[in-house]
Amino acid sequence: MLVVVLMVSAASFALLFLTGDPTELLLGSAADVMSQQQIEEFRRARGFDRPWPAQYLGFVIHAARGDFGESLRHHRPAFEVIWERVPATVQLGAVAFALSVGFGVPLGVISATRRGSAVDAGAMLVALLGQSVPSFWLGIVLIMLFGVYLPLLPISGRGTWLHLVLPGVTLAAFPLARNARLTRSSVLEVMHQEYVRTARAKGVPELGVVYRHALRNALIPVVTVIGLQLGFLLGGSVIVETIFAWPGVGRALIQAIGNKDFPVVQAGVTMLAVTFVAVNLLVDLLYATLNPRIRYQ
Amino acid sequence: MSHVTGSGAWLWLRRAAVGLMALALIGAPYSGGSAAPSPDTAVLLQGGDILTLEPYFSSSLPDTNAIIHMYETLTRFGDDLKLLPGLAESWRLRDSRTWEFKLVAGRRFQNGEPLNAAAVRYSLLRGKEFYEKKLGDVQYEYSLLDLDAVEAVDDVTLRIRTKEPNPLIPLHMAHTQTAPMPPRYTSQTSVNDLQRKPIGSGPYRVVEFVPNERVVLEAWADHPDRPRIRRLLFRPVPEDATRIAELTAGNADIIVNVPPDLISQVERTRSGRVETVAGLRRIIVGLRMDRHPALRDKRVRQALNYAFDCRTMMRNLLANKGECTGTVANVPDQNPAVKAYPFELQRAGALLDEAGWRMNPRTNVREQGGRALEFGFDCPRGRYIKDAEICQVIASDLAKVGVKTDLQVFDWSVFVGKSARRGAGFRDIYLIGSGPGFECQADLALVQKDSGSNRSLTDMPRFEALWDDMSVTFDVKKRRDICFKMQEVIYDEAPVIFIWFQTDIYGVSQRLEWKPRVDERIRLHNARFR
Amino acid sequence: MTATAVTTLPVRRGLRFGAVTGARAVGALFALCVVTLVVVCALGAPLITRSNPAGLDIKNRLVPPAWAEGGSREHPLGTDQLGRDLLSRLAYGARVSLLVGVSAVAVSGVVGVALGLVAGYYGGVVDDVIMRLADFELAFPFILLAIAILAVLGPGLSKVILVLGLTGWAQYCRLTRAQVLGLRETEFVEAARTIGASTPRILIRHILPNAMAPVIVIASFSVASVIIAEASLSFLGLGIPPSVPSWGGMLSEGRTYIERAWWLVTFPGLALMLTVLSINVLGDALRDILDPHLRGLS
Repeated sequence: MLVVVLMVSAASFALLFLTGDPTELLLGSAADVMSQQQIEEFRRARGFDRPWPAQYLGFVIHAARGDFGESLRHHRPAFEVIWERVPATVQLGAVAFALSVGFGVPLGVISATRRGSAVDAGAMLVALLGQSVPSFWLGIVLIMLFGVYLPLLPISGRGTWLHLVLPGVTLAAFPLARNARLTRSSVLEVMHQEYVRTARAKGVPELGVVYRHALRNALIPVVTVIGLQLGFLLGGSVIVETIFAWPGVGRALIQAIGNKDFPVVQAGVTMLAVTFVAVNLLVDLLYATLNPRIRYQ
Repeated sequence: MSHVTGSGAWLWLRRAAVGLMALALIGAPYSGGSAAPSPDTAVLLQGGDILTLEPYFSSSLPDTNAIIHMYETLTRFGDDLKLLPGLAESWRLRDSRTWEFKLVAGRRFQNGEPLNAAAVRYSLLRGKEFYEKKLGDVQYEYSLLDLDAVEAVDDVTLRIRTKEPNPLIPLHMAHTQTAPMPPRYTSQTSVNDLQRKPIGSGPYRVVEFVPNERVVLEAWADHPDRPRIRRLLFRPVPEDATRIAELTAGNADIIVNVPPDLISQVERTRSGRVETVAGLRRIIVGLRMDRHPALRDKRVRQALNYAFDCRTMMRNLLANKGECTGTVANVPDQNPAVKAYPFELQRAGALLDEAGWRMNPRTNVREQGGRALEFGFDCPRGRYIKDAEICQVIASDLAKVGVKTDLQVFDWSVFVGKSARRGAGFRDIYLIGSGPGFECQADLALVQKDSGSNRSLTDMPRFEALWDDMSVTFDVKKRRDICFKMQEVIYDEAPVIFIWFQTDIYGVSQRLEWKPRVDERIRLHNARFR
Repeated sequence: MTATAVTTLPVRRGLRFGAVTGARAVGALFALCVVTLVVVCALGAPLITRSNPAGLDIKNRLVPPAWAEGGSREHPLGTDQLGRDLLSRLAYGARVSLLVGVSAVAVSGVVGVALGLVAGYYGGVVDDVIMRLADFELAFPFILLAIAILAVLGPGLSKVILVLGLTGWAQYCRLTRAQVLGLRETEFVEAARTIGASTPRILIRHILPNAMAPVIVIASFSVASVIIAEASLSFLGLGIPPSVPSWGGMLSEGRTYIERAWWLVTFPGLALMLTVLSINVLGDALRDILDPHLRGLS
């Protein structure tokens, strides 16, 4: 697990470095009036002239102690820059997650149990649409509809819980659709399996059939995918954060990359990698609980 | 299939939906209301975050717009860019390297500390220290200042001595990075805290700083000029469409960077209007002299200017919100006799023919001695108004006269990398903007052969002769004459494709009375609500 | 990794066209028509429109579609913010979107399947290393990778395909590996080994065909999501140069004009939606044809 995190952070460091160090970006228009020698002095003073493995090593040594260095742009500890945005990111991610699971899974179950009906067709059409629309487009349309034409909801920024609605829905659209379709096909698949038929033949009441036998196994692939969805939530949130001016980690990371703000990029990427690995572990645990057969893998 | 099986999930869904709708209905009256600004607060939406409120640590525009309300400087630029007294009531040149400033008496900082010459001295020396230790963000300003010593003769008299004679020191004293800060508070407060809770002497104080979300400033009662708007709320909204939506919905008072295409849309709504101001940022296409041999020929460069139909582009792409130009000097130093290049396709073709670049009818590209007239064209995206579009229009215009371009558009951070080291990463031609120098010679440094901002390695002998002349001339009228002559030379030599001085376009709410400034700063000291 | 895939024995996959019936058949047929239309448009773009998609004409910016007020026959669907004909951009854009979708999926598919085969068959250290790499790819936020790679390599169609290809192979790898694990110890593979068939032969001739079905299903759905991902990259200003039309790019450029010039986002949006929808429906049908047991995949 640690290996993964290290690989991720090393790779991001290297990639950033490949297009040059941040000296010119930091100096901005000052570079125009400085001599080449002065610029080199600046570069050396900040340590940007060392080869990137050396810089990376220095970074790792500090990071192990929790010190990611000072942000080049914010003049504050890089860790702080990322960490203060975590609550907002978690809020948005949690809302999107809750919506996508809380509405997506039941929708899928209903579709599966009323297979072939208008409800099924309608729900699946909506789900397909949800997977066919880019999030930035959906976000802007929602802003127009519910922020401008029908001024019901706040358009951007963070404040009351109402500020979470539009960005939350936008971010949740794709995973919700995916969960609905996946749950539906999973439940259908399981409903046809032998042991369900057996249980029915034995006379177990329908509700029990669905919830005890079918759902448990049907949820396995859903849980796996949900775990992977975290990567999407973090990535997709960049777009949502930009459109809705949501102060999250994603946008800070993009800006840091644009500014070649190495410490912040490292802090962000490392935190993301750690989160992802942790969630993966959780998912594996959940997986094992749902399906005892693989508990000992 | 029995309906009982799905009923559990269905029931849950129905209940959840009803619950949400109820919440929404209950919350609705508060939602629209909470987003609309209160009667005593002006809401400003900028494109970038406010990172810091400490002027020595920042030079970004979003920060500056908050900082100019919290700090004052010795001098300041009026709305028409005339230099006005600020904390200093007068100033004079004492000897070739020393300027003396007389400060207004009896002023205090927001925490009560006296604002005297000693405080100003403290602040300037602090800036100098940052510069030498490469801390903060003061490299640009303090390398130009080149301070030697600062002396507080008495409470209201300050002497500033520079290493070289510098006629522009009073202008520099208008820069926020020379703003006085209270010595005791500043020296006792950590750098971290200073960024969030600084203390200046301006009419506003910071009352709320939520990083990445908002900054709230409130009027300070003890300031001699009480502003009429009690509170200012700054919010970062990076997306153009979202900012406009907020203005349309009545949630904002000032939004920045309205795309020219959407001006009519804003003006159609009842909640907002558009204010434009001809800015000072020159947008040009630089023509590198050390790459493609064709660009070393003046006739080719002139032809490029004749082939570019600037007026049509201005009218159609930029909603006629600006003017084509033939100079790179800003007002008031512009030579009125120098107009923009007219659109003359025939003449462009004739010049190219004359220079030996003949049209190859098969490829529709001109060539000479086997080499094609093809340029690599580097363009940034999202940095200047319609930058990528302007590049595409120019590329299309040039193609019509047989000049082929390979246009590539880059993200700003990548583009900056290419522009470093005097444009070392650029191919043949590139679009770029350049801020004002606030003075003729500084403006024209853009094309001076040794200047760091000259990214085309332009070297025009006639121009250089005039430049050397100007450097030793101190008489204002004589300088102006040389300045005008230099612009004529620049027009003739055509070291760039002239485009325009970028117009700044703001969206403003109907309730706010405010006019924008040419230097991109949003100053609300004299603004008020109707 | 789906439980159903691991525990299912390799059934000799016959193509069960009969599995697609009723409403699904109608839907699948419709989807097939749409996709065919898109492909035809893409291939025959120069024939459909006479206008040059890159032809700027700023005097005719933002012209509405022919049936609206101010429109003209010359531009049936109107023009964009630089005066380029929308219909031709849409047709040429089909090329780009399909090319990006198919190529990126091909890249990640080939890389992922190959690595999955190797990991599953050899096991041990090789397996560990490859799985770590897969975890790494999944852990790395796609957007960051895209930005970083495109910043280094510069913009361009091939680089966008590369980026999108490199950020999707892990799922194929895991899936294939799971399949291989299930197939490794079966009789016909044992038989092949005793005969003395070489490992690559075993992998390619015996294991691969049986493992392919779920991969194909996932690939078909991935084409859709890659096309959308390209749109997101365009939104962030990365990727394809502005003169090359792509639906995602058109959506991104037109997003500020939603009120002023609705046709800029509506037509590419519809095209995108219908195409992606149809690909997904076809994917469903494909899955049913190949093996209904794969229903757990989507």
